[in-house]
Amino acid sequence: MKPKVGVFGASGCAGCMLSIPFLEDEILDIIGQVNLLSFSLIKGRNINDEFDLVFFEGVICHNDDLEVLRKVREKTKILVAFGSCACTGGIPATRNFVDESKFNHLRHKKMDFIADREPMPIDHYVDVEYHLPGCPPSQPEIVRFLKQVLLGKDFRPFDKPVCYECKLNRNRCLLEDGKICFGTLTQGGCDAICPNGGYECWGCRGPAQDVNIEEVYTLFKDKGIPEEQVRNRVTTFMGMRMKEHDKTLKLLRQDQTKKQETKQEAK
Amino acid sequence: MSNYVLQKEEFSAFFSQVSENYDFIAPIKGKETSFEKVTNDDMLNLIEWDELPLFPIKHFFQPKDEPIFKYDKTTAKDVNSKPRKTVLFGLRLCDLNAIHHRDMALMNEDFTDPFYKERRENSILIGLHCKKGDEYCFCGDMDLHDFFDLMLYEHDECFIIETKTDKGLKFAKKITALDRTDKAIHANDRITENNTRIDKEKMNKIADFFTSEKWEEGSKLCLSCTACNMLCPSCYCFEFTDEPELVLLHKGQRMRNISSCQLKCFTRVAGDFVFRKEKNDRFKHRIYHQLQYFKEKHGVTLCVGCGRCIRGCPKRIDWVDILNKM
Repeated sequence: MKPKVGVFGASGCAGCMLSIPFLEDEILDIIGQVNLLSFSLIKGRNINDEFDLVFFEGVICHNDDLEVLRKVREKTKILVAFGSCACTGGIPATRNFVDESKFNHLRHKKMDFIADREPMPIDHYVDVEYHLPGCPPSQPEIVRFLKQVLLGKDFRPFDKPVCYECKLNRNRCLLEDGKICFGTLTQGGCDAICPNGGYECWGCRGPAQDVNIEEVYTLFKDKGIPEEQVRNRVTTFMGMRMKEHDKTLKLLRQDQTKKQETKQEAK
Repeated sequence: MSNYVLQKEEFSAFFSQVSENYDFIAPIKGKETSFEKVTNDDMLNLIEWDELPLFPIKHFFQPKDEPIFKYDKTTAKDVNSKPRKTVLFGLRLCDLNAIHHRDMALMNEDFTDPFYKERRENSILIGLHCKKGDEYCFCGDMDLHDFFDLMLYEHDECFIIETKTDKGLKFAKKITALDRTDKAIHANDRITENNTRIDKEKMNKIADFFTSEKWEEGSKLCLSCTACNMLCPSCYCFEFTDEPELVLLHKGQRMRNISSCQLKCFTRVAGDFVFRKEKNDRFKHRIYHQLQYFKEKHGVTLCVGCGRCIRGCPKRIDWVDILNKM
């Protein structure tokens, strides 16, 4: 029996979903190996079936997203958080680290039915079997993951940092040039694709297993890079996954609830 | 064994003669110097003659991932790997000794790695005498041996070439750009300046410091980026993964990948148990493997004193300094 597979998305750019049809060399073989029941980019969307494997893309940032996620979770054996947004909250979750006053004017004021909520990775709400991080996820890793699932094996996520692959590719360390590269912080498996091209790593794949964030901050401090700049960049992809950032998050939340309370009192 | 001479202006002729039968790998300047295959004459201008390349020759002997065998359900088949004949040019004494130590680990009486053996047998090691160490290296403290097929000593107009092995002599005879010479290698030629830094007495007593708290000074700075392992010419640890084919899932190949002892995953065993959980233990393990455990087994330290692990570390964690202060 071929496994029943679905691909769903919450709020996001659909870039992670696109990386599946963009697997040009393997896509026909993949389609032959699975029973694809739902994939809005290739065929219809079909949320009422039962699935063996679901790739779930995007961040949960309004109630409709949550409804879809919970419905999918109920009927799925293996749920995969697919891409940065689903795994770590990604770029949308940066909002959680910014004061409300700074983005309030961007809201759709006339469309109250868009009930937005704090952007959260999907495992904040439901249990997730696997994470395939990346913005977008690494294509070789998607194939590797699929093979393991088809074999009925446990998939082991890549457990070394980006620097490991970067050094094996014999790249010059971008930290030496004073760039804010998060290779030391970030889970590898992407073949260090950004540093290979001379661009610093932004940490889209989430934190590595052996992170030493305090020393990363002092490293940049010693290089004369303002700490706030580094902190902001950490929150771009990894804020929701850094314990060290929890404090900032808590303070901000307390601040916001206080403000809301005072607003209501004023009303 | 007899010595040869290579005029500097004939280097291009030397290269073209060698490249007829061999791949020519040399330290090539780029954003960072590393050993790359030289494919044309223009690249000869990019050869780094003076400084130690940051990236060692390791990737030639231990590729990022290499297939070990192919499998099909229950049968296994050898992978056909016939490495091309290769000249490894411009190796410093530290790099050469790292290969020597790798030989001890991977080509000894108990165990021979066939892939490594084949690569070694098909390669000719041409050294380049290192005149001056950098601020991190300490090869003068490490009892390095003369281990090479040919070694180049730079003079004003020419290189005097010392041959050490039959393989090297045979090679030198074939290349007409190399002329025989009666000139001997002087003691002056063999000097490498500024290459001692480690306290040898403490290094030999390193077992006594295992419980020292001073190691924490280094390990607390460690970012677990694995640069020290990846840049070390002598680190050789590896792990295996299976790579099945997509359509015929029962077929596939087993791959060997480089591993790093600075990560938790290095000691993760069945049941998700990690037996070197603390960063300090992992930090110490690398240094103790280099300076003690290997010595217990093979009689020499694995470390060759190239200092790349310090030079390439984002935090410049100087374990030599920590050891000296013990």
